[in-house]
Amino acid sequence: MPETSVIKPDFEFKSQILGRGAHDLTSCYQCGTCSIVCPISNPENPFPRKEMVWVQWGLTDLAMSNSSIWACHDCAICTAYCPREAQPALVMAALREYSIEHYAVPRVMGRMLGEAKFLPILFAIPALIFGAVLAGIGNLTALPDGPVVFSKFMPIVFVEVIFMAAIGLSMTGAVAGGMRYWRAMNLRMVGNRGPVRLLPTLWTILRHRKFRRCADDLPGTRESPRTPFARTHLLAFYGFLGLVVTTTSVGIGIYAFGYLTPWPIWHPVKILGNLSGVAVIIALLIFGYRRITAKTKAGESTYSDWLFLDILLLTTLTGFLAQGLRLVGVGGAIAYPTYFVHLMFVFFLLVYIPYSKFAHIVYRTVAMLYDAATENRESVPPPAQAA
Amino acid sequence: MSLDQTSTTLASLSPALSGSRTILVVGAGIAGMSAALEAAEAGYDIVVIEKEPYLGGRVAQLHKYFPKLCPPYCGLEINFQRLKNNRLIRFYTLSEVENISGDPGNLDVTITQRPRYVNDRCTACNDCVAVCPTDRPDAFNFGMGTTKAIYLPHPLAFPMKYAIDDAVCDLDGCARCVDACTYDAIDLNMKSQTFTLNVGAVVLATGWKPYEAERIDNLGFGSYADVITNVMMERLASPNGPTAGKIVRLSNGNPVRNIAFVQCAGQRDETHLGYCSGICCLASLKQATYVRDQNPDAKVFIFYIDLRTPGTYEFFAQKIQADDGVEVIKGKVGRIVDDPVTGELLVEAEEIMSPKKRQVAVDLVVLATGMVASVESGLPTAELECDKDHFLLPDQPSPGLFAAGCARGPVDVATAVKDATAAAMKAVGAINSATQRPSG
Repeated sequence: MPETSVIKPDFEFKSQILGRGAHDLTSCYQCGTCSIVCPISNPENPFPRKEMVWVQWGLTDLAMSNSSIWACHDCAICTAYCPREAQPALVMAALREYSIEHYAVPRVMGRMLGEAKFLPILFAIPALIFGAVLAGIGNLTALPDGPVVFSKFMPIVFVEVIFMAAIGLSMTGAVAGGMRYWRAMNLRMVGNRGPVRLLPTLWTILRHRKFRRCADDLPGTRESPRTPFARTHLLAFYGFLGLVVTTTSVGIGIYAFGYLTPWPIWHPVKILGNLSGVAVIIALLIFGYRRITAKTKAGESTYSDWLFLDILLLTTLTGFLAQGLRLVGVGGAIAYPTYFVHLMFVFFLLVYIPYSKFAHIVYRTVAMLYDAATENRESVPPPAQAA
Repeated sequence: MSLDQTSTTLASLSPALSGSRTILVVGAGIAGMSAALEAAEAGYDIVVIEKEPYLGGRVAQLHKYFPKLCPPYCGLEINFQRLKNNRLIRFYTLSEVENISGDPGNLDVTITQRPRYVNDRCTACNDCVAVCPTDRPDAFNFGMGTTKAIYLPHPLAFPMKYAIDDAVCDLDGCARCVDACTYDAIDLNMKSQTFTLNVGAVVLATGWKPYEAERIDNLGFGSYADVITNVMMERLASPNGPTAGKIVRLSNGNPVRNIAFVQCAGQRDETHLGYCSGICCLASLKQATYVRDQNPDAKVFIFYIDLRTPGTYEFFAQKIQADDGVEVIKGKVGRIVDDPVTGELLVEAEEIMSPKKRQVAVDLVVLATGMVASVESGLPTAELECDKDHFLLPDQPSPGLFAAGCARGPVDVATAVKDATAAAMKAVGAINSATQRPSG
């Protein structure tokens, strides 16, 4: 006799997922075509077929404690082959979105990033902080005279302190969220986990090895609605990495060598920063264009998709704008407020990392680390033992 | 009534028929023949037209059929005899409907009969085939093998007469068969003829055709010779098929040691056929017995979403599943590739109950493809109405027209026969109420 198991459906979870653009999921009849046409689906822990039934049955714990949702890189070839037009790719995307809120520490932050009505509050926080600094040094009422130098308007030390503190907070949140996810996966683990293989996983990420496999090894002649997604992401990824390197180098330059900003435009670090910014903007514009044009094939984009894309784009654009305005010498009245807005966006981007779609850098990495450690070992109990 | 496709033309029938007594049956498969016989036994004149050069339709292509898994030819032979011996039934091959107009009891039907180029004097001696220089794909065997341009549709064809495929034959440019024929049975000057019949009602038994498997782009049909369809499997297993009944790999003729059946290939699929044809699970279970009977060591894998065996067919499914050589696997096949080293086909599905990916290496793959209504491309000018799956509505909006068998939905042989009887009854009823209604 098999053990009796009682399934307690979490209807709130189900309606949450359906509400995030995955409403076609109810027509799924569990044939498993999706798991087979997926070029990166794990032989021992295939996806996304099981996720489809977990959502249909409202099994939140199972859906949230598996590496599959983040192993998926959203090429949507499953959607192209789904015989029921149930759009499995959208279900996986909705699950990822949900899991960011589910694992958010503190949880309220997850909710605030997930709903448009909280957007004013999210922007008010950096506005108040930077506004308070300006008020404190007297720049709120009278802008500094002379040629535009942003450190005169907002001394670097304040920017550094605020961002260091903010990044510290967000890193804590990210680590806490990532650990909750890791522990949840561990609880469901059948058998023993192997050692964590950090370097091979990072190497996979740097090369986008999995991502690029999404477009390869397709089962037939149909195209994924989202190819060539990996190359665009690679551009955004290295662009963003370049911006991180630029910012870090500038910090080191100032504090270790006393090399004060603004650095000349021909400086190698400055060139890296500008090239990286351009790369990010190009990648984001391509992503945005595809989100608009691929709507019918790949499904509607959600609020959090657009929020992430727009914040990244506006951060980069306002950065370029502030730099441009400074160089053409339009005067502080225009350049300084632009810089202020740019700082707000940077704050938004960095501080809200673990709660916005940006959190994929945390959760996807955790999932990939976990997959590498379990070496394809089964981590899904059969349905009879579920719940 | 004498067998008559050529020496007496359909056109000469026209004056002899009256709308108040005549029913036209379109299609001479199992449903059309059944409808014709039932209506004739009720006393009505029947004209049966068939677009192929032989009667029997899809059933003639089967190796065995339900419920007894016997060869369908004894059942067909009985029907052919009844048809031939019933003086109220006339039938015509190579004929198709162009147009239908009028009211019940007085319908004008325009029919075109294509030339057979072979008349009633043919004795099926095969001398013509020996001299014919042109090959054509063997349509009866779904392109497995070839025939000459002059050919007997299949070894048990009824009528037992040769025909010429004018799509490939040179006709007057060659005429070697005419010289070879000692019975003066070949006439290359035959032409298409179009004429109008006056009938009282029409039974549309236009049947079905297999779904085009090459459209299922992830299952390898057309790319791999050893990926075949279920209808091809019937021919492959049939003693009068292309391999004289030996189930072999088409790529190299080697025996089949293991085989995979892919259920719902292009079915219950919004990209292909949105519906379930309802017969393919049973067909695959039946075909599993073909393989197991020929090779007791053979291993059979049946990949399915839901094994649908309605009613008492459930017992048949249980019997097949009890065979140790048969494994049924819940999970739809998503990918078929070949192993370049072993030459085997790798068939992959997610085994839902484990739940892990499952890959089996097999010699032959059978795609359980579905039934498509023939009317999708046939009966061009008649005003016919279909359901969303392109099957004819059983009671057509144009009065006096009734669809039966697989023309109105995918059904098994037994259901098609019952359905045909019902349609015959409706046709009789339509004529009766039309002719008994007071005029004015």
